Amino acid sequence: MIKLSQDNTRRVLDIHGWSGILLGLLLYAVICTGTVAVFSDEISNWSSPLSGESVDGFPTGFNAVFKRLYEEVDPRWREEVDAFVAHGGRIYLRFEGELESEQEGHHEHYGVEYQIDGNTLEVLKRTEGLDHERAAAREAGALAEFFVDLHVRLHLPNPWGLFLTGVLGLGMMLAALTGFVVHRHLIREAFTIRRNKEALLRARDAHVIAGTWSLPFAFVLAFTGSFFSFASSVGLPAMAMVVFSGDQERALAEVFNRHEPYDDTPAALANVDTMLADASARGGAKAVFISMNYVGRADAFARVFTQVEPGQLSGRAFDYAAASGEFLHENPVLVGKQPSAGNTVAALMTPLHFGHFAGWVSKAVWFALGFAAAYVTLSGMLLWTLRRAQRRAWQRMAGVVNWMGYGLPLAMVLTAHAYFWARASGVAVGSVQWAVFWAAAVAAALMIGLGSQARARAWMIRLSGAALLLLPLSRWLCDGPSWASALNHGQQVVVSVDLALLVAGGFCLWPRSRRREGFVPVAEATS
Amino acid sequence: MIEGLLAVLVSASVLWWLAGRDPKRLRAARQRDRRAHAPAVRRGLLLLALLPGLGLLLWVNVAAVLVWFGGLTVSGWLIAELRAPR
Repeated sequence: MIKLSQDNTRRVLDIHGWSGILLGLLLYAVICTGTVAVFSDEISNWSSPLSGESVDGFPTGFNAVFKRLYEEVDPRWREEVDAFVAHGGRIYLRFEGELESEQEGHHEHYGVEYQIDGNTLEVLKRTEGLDHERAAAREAGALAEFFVDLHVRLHLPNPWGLFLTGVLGLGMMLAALTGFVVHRHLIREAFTIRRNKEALLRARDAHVIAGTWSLPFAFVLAFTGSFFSFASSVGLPAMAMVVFSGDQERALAEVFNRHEPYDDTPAALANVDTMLADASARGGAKAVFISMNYVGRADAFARVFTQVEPGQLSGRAFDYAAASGEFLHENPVLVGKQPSAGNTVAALMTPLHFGHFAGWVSKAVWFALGFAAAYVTLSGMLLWTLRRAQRRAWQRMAGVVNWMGYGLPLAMVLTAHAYFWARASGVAVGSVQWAVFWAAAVAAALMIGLGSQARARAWMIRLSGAALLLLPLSRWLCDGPSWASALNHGQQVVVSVDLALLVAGGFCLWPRSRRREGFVPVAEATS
Repeated sequence: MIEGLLAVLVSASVLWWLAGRDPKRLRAARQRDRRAHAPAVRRGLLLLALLPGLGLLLWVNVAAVLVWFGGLTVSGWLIAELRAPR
C-alpha cells in the first residue's frame, strides 16, 4: 500500500484520469484490434483456407518450384529472395530488387511475388510491382492484416502511425502506474465488486478490480508495444543518424547481421529443401521463413527461421552458405552478430507482446489479457464521464466513449463480413473493408446522436452479437469450406473459429437483467 | 503446455477459496453470518496460489510460467466478477 496525502492522491488521480480520457479512445482502438490480432494467423487460416490438407511449413519439392520460378524472374529483381508460409497453407515466394524512384537518389523496392499452393505446389497467383502493390495482392490475409495494421499504426502513414501508437503505449504505462498508486487498497479489495450498489460505485469497482488483476500484464503489453513502435520509427533512424551518418540501410544490415558480399563468381544454388530440413532438425520445429541474398553467386547466403520449439519463447535462426548448402552458424534471432544481453532482452519483447510462444494456449491467455485491458480502458473512460455526468460537455464525451467502446467491435465484425462478400464478388477487398468499417462507424455515431446513449449501446451490443453469429454463415456462403469438409482436410481452425464466434455472438445476445440507473453523489463513490 | 494450464486450474481453485471468505467481499455482500478467513490463513492461501508458478519455474520452463501467470491474473478477475454480490 502506498500512502499519499489527500492532495497528492487527488493530483495522481487527475493524471490517471486525464491521461486516460485524452489517450483512452485511441488506446482502446489499439487494444481491441491488438486483442483480435493475437489470433491473426488463425484468422488468415480460417478466412482463406486452401482446398486440400492443411499445410504447416514448407513441403518437400519446394526446391524444384523455387528454381523454376527463379529462372523466370527478371535478374534485376533477384537481389533479395524470401519465402514464407502463411494464410491457410500458401507459400509466398518473393523476389526483390531496387528501382530508381522519380525522386533523385531514392530507390524503391520492386519485385515479383508468387503465391503457391502448399499442397500441390501449383502457382496460384503472380504479382509484379512495388511493395504496396504486392501487399494489396495478398487478399488471403487481408482481413487479419486490416486488424494488425489498425493495431500497429492506426492505418496512419509511417512513421506517424508508429509514433502515435508508441505514445499511446506510454500513456497506458502512465495510467497503469498512476492507477497502482491511486487505488491504495488494490490487494485488500481484489475480490470486492459491489454490484448490489449504485451505478457509480458499480462502475468504479468494475474498473478498479479489472485494473488490479490485469495491472502486471497491462504494463508489460504497454511497454513492449511502445518498444516495437519506437524501435523502427525513432530508435533505428536515431541510431542510423548517430552511428551510420543517417544511412538506415547500413544500420539495418548491422542490426540484423546481413552478410557482406565477397565473391560474385556465378554459382548454382544448393538444394533449398535440404537447408529447410536441416534448419527444422536443428531448431526442433518447422522452418517457416527463408531469406536469401546474392543468389546465383558463390557468396550466396541464406537464413532460415524456425517456429518456436515447445517450451521455448522464441523461434531460432540458422545461417547457410547457400551455394554449397553448408551450415554456417546459428544467428541471434533478432539483433546483432552474436548472442548478447541486448538480443536476449529484445528477443523477450516479442513473446511477451504477441503471446504466440505456446500455440493456442498462450494465445488464448494473451487474448484474455487484451480483453481485460480493453475492459479496463473502456470502464475507466465511462467512469470518468459518469462522475461528471451533470455537465453537458461530459455527457457528449460519454456519447463519444460509447461510440468508440461499442461501435468499434461492431465495425470490426462487419468488416469481416465485408471481407468475405468482397472476395466472393471479386472486388477490391481492401477498399470494401475500409468502406464498411467507416460506414459502421458513422451508423454507430448516428445511433448515439439520435437516441439515448443507453439504448444505442444496447443495440450496438445486440447488432454485434447478431453479426458474430452470422459470420460463419457469410464465410460458408462465400465459397468457404463446410465444417465436414474442413474437418476432413485437417482444417480444425475453421470449425474452432466458427464455434468461438457463435459463443461470442450468443454471449452478446444473452439477455441481461436491467440494472438500477440512479445518480449518486461523487463523494460516495470515491474511496 | 498442459502443465501451465493445470497450474492455472490449481491456483484458480485456491483463489476461489480465498475469495469465498474474503473479509472485504463478505462485508460488501452483507454476509455477516459467514466467518472471514483470518489474516494468517489469507496469507497462507495466497502463497499456496503462487506455489504452482514456482514449481513451473523450477521444473518445467519459462513459457509455462508465463501461461500460468497470465491465466492466474485473468482467473482472479473472473473469480471477483463471479463472486460479486448481485
